[in-house]
Amino acid sequence: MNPRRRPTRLTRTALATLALTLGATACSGGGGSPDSKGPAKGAPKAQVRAVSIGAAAESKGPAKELAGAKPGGTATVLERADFNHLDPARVYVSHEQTAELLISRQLTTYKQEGDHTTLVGDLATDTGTSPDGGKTWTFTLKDGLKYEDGSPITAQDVKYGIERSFAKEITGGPTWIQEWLVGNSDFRSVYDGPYGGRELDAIKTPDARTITFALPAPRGDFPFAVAMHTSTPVPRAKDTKLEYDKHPFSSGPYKISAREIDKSMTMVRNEHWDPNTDAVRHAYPDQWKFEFGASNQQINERLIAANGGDRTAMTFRVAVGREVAQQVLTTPDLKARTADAATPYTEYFEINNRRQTNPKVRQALIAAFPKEQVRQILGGPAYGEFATTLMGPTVLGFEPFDLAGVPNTGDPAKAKQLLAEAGTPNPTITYAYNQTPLWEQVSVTIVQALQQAGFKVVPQPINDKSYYTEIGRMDNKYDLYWSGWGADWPSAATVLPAKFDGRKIIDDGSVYNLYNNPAMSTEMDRITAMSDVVAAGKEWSNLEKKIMAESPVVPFVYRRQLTLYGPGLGGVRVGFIGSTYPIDVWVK
Amino acid sequence: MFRFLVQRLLGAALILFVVFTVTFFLFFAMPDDPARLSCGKTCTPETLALIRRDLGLDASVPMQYWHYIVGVFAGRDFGSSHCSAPCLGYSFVNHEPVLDTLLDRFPATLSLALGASVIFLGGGIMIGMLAALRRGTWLDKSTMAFSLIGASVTIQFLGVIARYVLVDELRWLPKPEYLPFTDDPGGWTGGLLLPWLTLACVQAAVYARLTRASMIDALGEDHVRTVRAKGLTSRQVYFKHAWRGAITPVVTVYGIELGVLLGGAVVTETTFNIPGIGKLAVNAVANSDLPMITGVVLIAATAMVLANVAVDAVYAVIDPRVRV
Amino acid sequence: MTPPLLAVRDLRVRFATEGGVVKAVDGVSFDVERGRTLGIVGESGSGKSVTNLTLLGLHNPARTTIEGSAVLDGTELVGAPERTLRDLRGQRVSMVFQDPLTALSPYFTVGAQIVETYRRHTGAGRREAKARAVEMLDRVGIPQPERRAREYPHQFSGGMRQRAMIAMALVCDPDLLIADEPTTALDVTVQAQILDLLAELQEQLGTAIILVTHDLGVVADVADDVLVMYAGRAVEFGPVAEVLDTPRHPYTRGLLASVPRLSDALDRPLQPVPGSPPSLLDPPSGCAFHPRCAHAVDGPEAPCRTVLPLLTRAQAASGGSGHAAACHLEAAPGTAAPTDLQGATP
Repeated sequence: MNPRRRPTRLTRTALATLALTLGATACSGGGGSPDSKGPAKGAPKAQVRAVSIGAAAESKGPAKELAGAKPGGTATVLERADFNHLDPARVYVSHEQTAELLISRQLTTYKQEGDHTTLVGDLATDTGTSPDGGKTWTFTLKDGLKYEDGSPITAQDVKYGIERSFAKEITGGPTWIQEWLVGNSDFRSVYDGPYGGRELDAIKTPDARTITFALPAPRGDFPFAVAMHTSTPVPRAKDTKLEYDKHPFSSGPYKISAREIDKSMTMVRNEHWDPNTDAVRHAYPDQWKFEFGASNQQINERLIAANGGDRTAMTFRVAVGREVAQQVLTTPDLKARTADAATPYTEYFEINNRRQTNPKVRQALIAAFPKEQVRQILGGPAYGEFATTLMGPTVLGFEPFDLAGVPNTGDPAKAKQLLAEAGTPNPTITYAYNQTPLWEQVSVTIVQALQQAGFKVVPQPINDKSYYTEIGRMDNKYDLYWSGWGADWPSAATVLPAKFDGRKIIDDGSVYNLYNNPAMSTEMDRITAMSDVVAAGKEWSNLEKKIMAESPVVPFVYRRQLTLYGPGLGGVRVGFIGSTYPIDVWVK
Repeated sequence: MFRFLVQRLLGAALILFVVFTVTFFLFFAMPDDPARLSCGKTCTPETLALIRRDLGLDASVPMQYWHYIVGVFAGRDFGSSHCSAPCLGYSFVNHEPVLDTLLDRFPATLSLALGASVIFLGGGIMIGMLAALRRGTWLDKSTMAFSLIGASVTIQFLGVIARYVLVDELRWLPKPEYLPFTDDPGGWTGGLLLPWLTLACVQAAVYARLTRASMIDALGEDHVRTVRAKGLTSRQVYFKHAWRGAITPVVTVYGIELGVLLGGAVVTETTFNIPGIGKLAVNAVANSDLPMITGVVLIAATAMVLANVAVDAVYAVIDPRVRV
Repeated sequence: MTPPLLAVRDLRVRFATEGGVVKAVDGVSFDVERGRTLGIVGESGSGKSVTNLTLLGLHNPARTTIEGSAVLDGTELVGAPERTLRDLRGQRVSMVFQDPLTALSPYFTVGAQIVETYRRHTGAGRREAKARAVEMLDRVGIPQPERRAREYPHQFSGGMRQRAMIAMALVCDPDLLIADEPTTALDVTVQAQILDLLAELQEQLGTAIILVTHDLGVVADVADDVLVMYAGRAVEFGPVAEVLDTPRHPYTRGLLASVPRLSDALDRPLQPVPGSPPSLLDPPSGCAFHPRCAHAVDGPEAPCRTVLPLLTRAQAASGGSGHAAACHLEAAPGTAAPTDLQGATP
C-alpha cells in the first residue's frame, strides 16, 4: 500500500521521480524493448514483467560480473534535496530506499537480470520458509556478514531493527511487518518498541543466525515485505534513536564518511562487507559523493553538459523534465545516456463513487476521457503508457485487459450514448485539480473533452499545498480528481486493498474514489491470506476485473521514469524501487 | 548618545517581535499541514497524532506562540531533548536545530553578500563617478547604456548564460560552489567568483546610475562651487569634497540592499546552488517548515535592522550634521 | 595713470540650453580699480552673478561660450587655461557667496576649510596654516576663534558663518574679492555688520571688491562706483553718488524709486518697476528695457524698439566723472559721445 501521496512536499513536485519499478529495464542504458517507444495504441501493450521467487542458490554471492565493468573511481549523485530519512526504519520514498541500498542490507532483496526480476535472500540464505502456510516464517542468516566496524550481523540485530520501528519516535517508514506481527493497524497500542525495555515476543531468535516470525494470520507476501528496509539489522549498542536518521550504522557495501545535512554526503567503502555474501550489489566505485540543493532543471542541465566531475554523475530521482525532454530524446548522444523504464506507479483520475452512483455515468466518464491529450501536456510517451487496468504491469499476476474499449483520445459519441442510457444526458461533474500552471492546462483539455460528451463540467482548482487533504475528505464535493498509486512489492496486495477496500475509507485515507463493495473486500481478505503468491496473483487479477467492471476510476497511465546520467558511468538503470539504481554502476 | 542607542535597540526589538508575530500567525492561516507532510506514505490517524505531538502542533496556536517565545528566552524541551535558549526550535523536516542551521548557512550568505558588495560598490561607484565627471561624453553615454542593460537583465538569465560561457565553454572561471573560507580560502574565492560577478553585475548597474546622478547633483552644490572658487584641483574637488555629498544616497540604498542580501540572496543562491539563508528560506516555505520559516524571517529582519543601524552610523561618519 | 586691477571689455556669455541659446551677458565692460569697490546692481537674471562666475571659470564649460576680454593685472582671463585660473582663484581673486550655510562645506570644520585654502596657495605647513586660520577668524570678529575653528558650519549662526566665509576668502590676501550678494541671506542688523566688516577689511588690506547685489541701499553704503545691469547689458555706470543722485537711465530710476529711504516721507508710496525682466532666450529688440519703460517712445520705427542703445557719457551733466547710461532718451545724437569704455574692445 503505497499511496502516491507526497511523503514530503518535494516528492510531489517531482512526480516523475517517485516510482517503484519492478525489474523490467525496458529501455535501460539505451537498449530497450519496442513497447517503450511511441504511444501504446488500442489495447494495452504494456509488458508483463516476469517476477519470481528465487531458489537458495540464487541468493548466493557474489553478484555476477557485468561486462565492461571495473572497480574504482568516484561516482556522484545529484539530488534536489537531501534525504529526509536514512534511518532504515524511517525511509519510504523511493530515492531514500535507493540510497539505503548502498549502506544497508535486508533479509531479502531483488535480483534483476535483463527483464527478469527474482526475489532472493540478502542477509538470509533464501527467501524464507514457512511450514504452516504463511503464519510462521523462518530465515537463516548467511555466514560472514559484518557491519562497518567488522562486528558480525546477528539475527538479534534484525529483530531489534524491527522492534525499534514500533517506537513512537520512529515514524515515516512502511508499517506492513509491524501491523502483521501484532495483527492490528494501530500497532503501537500493542507494542511500543524496545526503548521501554520490552521485547516483541512474535519474533524469536533461537541463535545468532536464525530468526522466526510468528504471525497471527497467514501472510503469503511476507518474503516480499522483509525486502523493505524495516528488516535492516541495527545493533542495540549503535541505536542513537532520532540521531540514527542522520548517520545510520552500515551493514551494506559503503558507509557514510561525511555528511552535511542539505549540502553533501560522502560514502566510502565498508571494508568489512564481503561480496561473497551478496548476490545483488556490485559496489564498483570506491566512493559515492552526493550533492544536494540544485534545482531539478539545474541538475538536468548539468547532466546534459557533463562537465568535469559531472561526467560521472547520476541522479536517483530527478527525471528528465519537460523543458529538456525534447532535446534529450532527439540527441543521440544524450539519449544514449538515459535510463528509462516503467515504474510500478499507476495514475488514475478518481471518480467519487459516493456522488456518482450511476455506473453508466462513470462508464461515460471513462469513455469521454482524453488520455492522449492529457498525457501530451504532461510529457508525452515518456510520461508513461496508457492504462486500462487498476494494477500496473509490474505486479505478479498482471494481465492486460480493456473493458471500456475506447480510443485513448476519448469517444464522445459512445459517452453520449452511455449518458442517454443512464437517463442523464447532461450530468454536472466537478473536476478538482491542483492549482499549478501545468494542471490548469490539463484542466482545460479535460473540461473540453467532457463537455463534448455532454457533461456539464465545473473545474475546481485546489491550492497546491492542500490538494491531498481536500480530495482525501470523505465528504468532498468533487467528482473527478487525479491521484497515483504504486506497489511496495510486486503484488496486488499492495494495490487493490489500499485503493478499493471500502472498509478503509477514512478522512485522509487512500481510497480517494470512496468505492465500497463489501463482496470485494471479503475477497481481498481471502486472497491476502493465500500462501502461494503466484496463485494469489491470478486471483488478484480476477478480482481486479470484477472491480473494474464497476468503473470506479478512470485508469490513466502506467508511469515511466526517464533519467539522465554522465557519460563516465556504466551500468546505470532504473531499478526495482523505482529510482535510478546505483548497485550496478561503475566508473568508466 | 546612550539614550539614542537604547531607543534604537528597543525599536529594533519591537520590530523583530512584530515581524515574528505576523509570520507566526500568517503561517497558521496557510492551508497546509506540516504534520501531514512529514507523516510518510502510510499515514494512519495514530501516526499523525504522534507527529503532531512531536512537532508541538497539538497545542492551540496561541499556546504554540507562547511556547516559542518561552523557548527563545528560556529554552524548551522537545520530547527527550532539551533545546537551550535562545531556542528557535527544530526543523519539521530534518529535525535539525533551527539556530544551528541558520548559523551554518549564514556564512555562505555573508560571503556572497560581502564579496559581491565589494565588487558592485567599488565598480558601480567608480563607473558612476567617471560618468558624472565625463558627463555627456561617449564614455558617459556608453557606460550608462551598459548599466541600463545590466539593470534590466535578471540574475537567473545572466547566471545561466555566464555559467555556460565562462565556466562550461571557455573555462575561465571555476565551477560555482560554496566552500567555507576557513577550509579552503582559494576554493572559497574561486567558487564564489561567478556568483559574485553575476550579482555584482546586476547591482553595479544600479549603483553606477545612482552614483552618477548624485555626483552630478553634488557637483552643482554651492559648497562644491566654493571649493572650486578656492582654487582646489579637480581631484580635490571630486574626491575630497563632492563625493561626500554624492555618497549619501548610495549609502542609503546600499543599507537597504545589504539588509536584503544578508537575509538571503534568494535568486542568486538558488541559481548557483549556494547553501545560504535564501535557499533555506525557499525550501522552508516549500516544506511548510514553520520553525525554519520563522528562523529565516527573524534572521532576515535582524539583518535589516542591523543594516539600518550601520547606515545611520555611516551617515554620522560622513556628515557631521547628523551626529548626535 | 596706472592700469585698473581688472579691466573687462565687451564680455559676452552664452549658455546653450534645451530651449536655445541664452545670452546671459551681452557685451559688458567695466574697470575695477585697486582698493576700490564696484557695486554691480540688477534684478535676478540680469547677468550680474554670471559675469563674475565666468571671470574665474566657475561656469559649466561644456555649455557655455565666453567672448570678450577680462584682464586681471596683466593676465587675460577669458580663454585662459584651467591651471592658470585655478592658481588665481582663492589667491588673487576670491569669492564670498550669498548663503554661507550652503556655500561652506558641511563635512569639514570651519578651520579645516580655511586651512585648506591657505595651504593650497602658500604651501604652508599644517601648524602654520592653522594659526593663520585662527588669526583670520579673529580678524573677522569671531570670538574664541581657536575653539570655533574646530566647529562645523552648522554650529555657527548665520552672521558668524558669513564672517568665516570672509575669513576664508581673505586668508591668502587677495587683490580682488568678489562678494556675490553677501548679505542677502542675513538679518538686517547682521547685514550692516558684515558690510562694515568688509569696508574695514578693505581699508586694512587694500583689497578691491566687486559687490554684486540687487540692493541699491547696500551699494550706497559701501561702493565707490556702480554698474547697473539689465538683461545681460550694462545700462548705467558711474560713481555711486552721481548715479544715485542723478540716475540717467529709466531703469535705475525705477530701482531707486522702489527702495525705501529714511529721508522719505512716511507716506511715500513704494513704486516697484512695473513688469518683469525679459527672457534672455528671446530678449526684446532695441532697448531691452523698452517694454517696461514709462518713457519709451512709441511707434514701430522708434529707436527704443529698433536700435540697441549704447552706453554713452553725458558730459554736460557730469563733467567727465565717467557717469554713463545706455538710453536713447539721454543720448540724443550730437550731444553725447560713446564712452571710452565702450570702444575699448581689444
